[in-house]
Amino acid sequence: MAICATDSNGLPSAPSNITIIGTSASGTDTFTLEDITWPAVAGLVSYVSFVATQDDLICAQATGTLTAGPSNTYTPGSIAFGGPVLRSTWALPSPYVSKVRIKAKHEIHGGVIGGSIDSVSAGTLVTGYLQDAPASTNPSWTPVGRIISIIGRPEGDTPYFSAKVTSWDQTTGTLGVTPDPNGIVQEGDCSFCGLLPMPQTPRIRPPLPIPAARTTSIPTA
Amino acid sequence: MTPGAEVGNLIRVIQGVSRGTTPVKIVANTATTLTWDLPMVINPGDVWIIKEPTWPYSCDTTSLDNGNPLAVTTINMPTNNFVDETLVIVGFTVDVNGNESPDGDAPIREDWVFGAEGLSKVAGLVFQMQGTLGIESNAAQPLYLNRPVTVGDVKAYVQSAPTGSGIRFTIYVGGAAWLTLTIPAGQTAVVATPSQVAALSQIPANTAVSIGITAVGSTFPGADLSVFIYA
Repeated sequence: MAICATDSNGLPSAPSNITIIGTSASGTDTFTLEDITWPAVAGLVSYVSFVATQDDLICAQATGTLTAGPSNTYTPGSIAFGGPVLRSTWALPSPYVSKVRIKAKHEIHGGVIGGSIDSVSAGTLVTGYLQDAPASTNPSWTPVGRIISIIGRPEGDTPYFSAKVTSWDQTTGTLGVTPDPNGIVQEGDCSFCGLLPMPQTPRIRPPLPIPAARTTSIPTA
Repeated sequence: MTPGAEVGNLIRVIQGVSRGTTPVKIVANTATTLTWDLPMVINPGDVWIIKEPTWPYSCDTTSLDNGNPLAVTTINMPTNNFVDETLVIVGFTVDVNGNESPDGDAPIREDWVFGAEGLSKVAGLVFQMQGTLGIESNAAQPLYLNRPVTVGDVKAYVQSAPTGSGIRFTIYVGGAAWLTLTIPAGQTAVVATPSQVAALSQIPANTAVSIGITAVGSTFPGADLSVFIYA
């Protein structure tokens, strides 16, 4: 865990040292960071706490208000955190970051079905790409249980939306999904129905044992 | 899947216990199974993708001096003009020594690129008439465009030149004569002049574009005519 103070513009202070905190196996603990000394500078208004269960995932979890006292001191002097730990928000500020790099590559397989959305209503998506019976070679196939993600919009920003398919009417191509796509997804959006390993008949083989000669190889990524 | 076709591509888990791990390389595949090189757990219910091994497209910001973690920036990354392609787009941070943040931790988006056909100067329509030529009103199958096209050039070639006299043909748009060109006797090509091109009307969408041959060589008609209409 680490913390930053922030000013009225949202600019953070240098982060505190990272504190390693042990929790019980239940993962339901609450811990309190005590005896906090905030930077003795004027204008601080709030704080952000950064928490993760893995070093590389430390990111913002909670915010609170700082109350100014005499001589550029601030309270609270302690912060409690009880989770849950969000996996991805924004990272601990780092003075070492020099720039941002965006990369792109072709996606070879993004899902089992890709198609456009024909209509949206409360809790449902309709797509003609799923308006049919499964192939005779795999008659028990169903999208139920898979994740459907919106990955494109013809004109405009693509929403960041994924939902779990809870029902399927193959005669109409209607999918029941959760969370509710209404108001987020639009007609014409492009969707993928995600790849899943099949629990009954595993399609993904477990990895091969690694030969000794391979243990030092680096995958091309 | 085509057996062996996925070898060299990468698997990335985007939901599940292995989310955040470095993508692994596919070393073998059958029609229904994949095998990869390094240990990575995929459980029932996990979601994963297959992507190509390298990053053909990359774009850096200029050096950042930004203390606001919530500041929004726009980065334009040039790519090819894709039409109906899916890209995986990933963001990295780079430190002062050029080290990238780990691939597995990077935020990713799958993005369907609807795209559109470009407007570069490429052949928009091609008529091809094989064999020895003859006079005929519909010398090739009519063609249709899916959008209006302003023509930038028209060229015609024959593999065997006419002799005795030239080959004259007329292109029709919606049944109306649009352009007439002549390949002279002994020649194998003709190009519409700039003034002819400038006088051409735009070809509308969903309108028949056809060609008729109105004259051929009197000694040898000529053979294998191709007519290119460039956008």
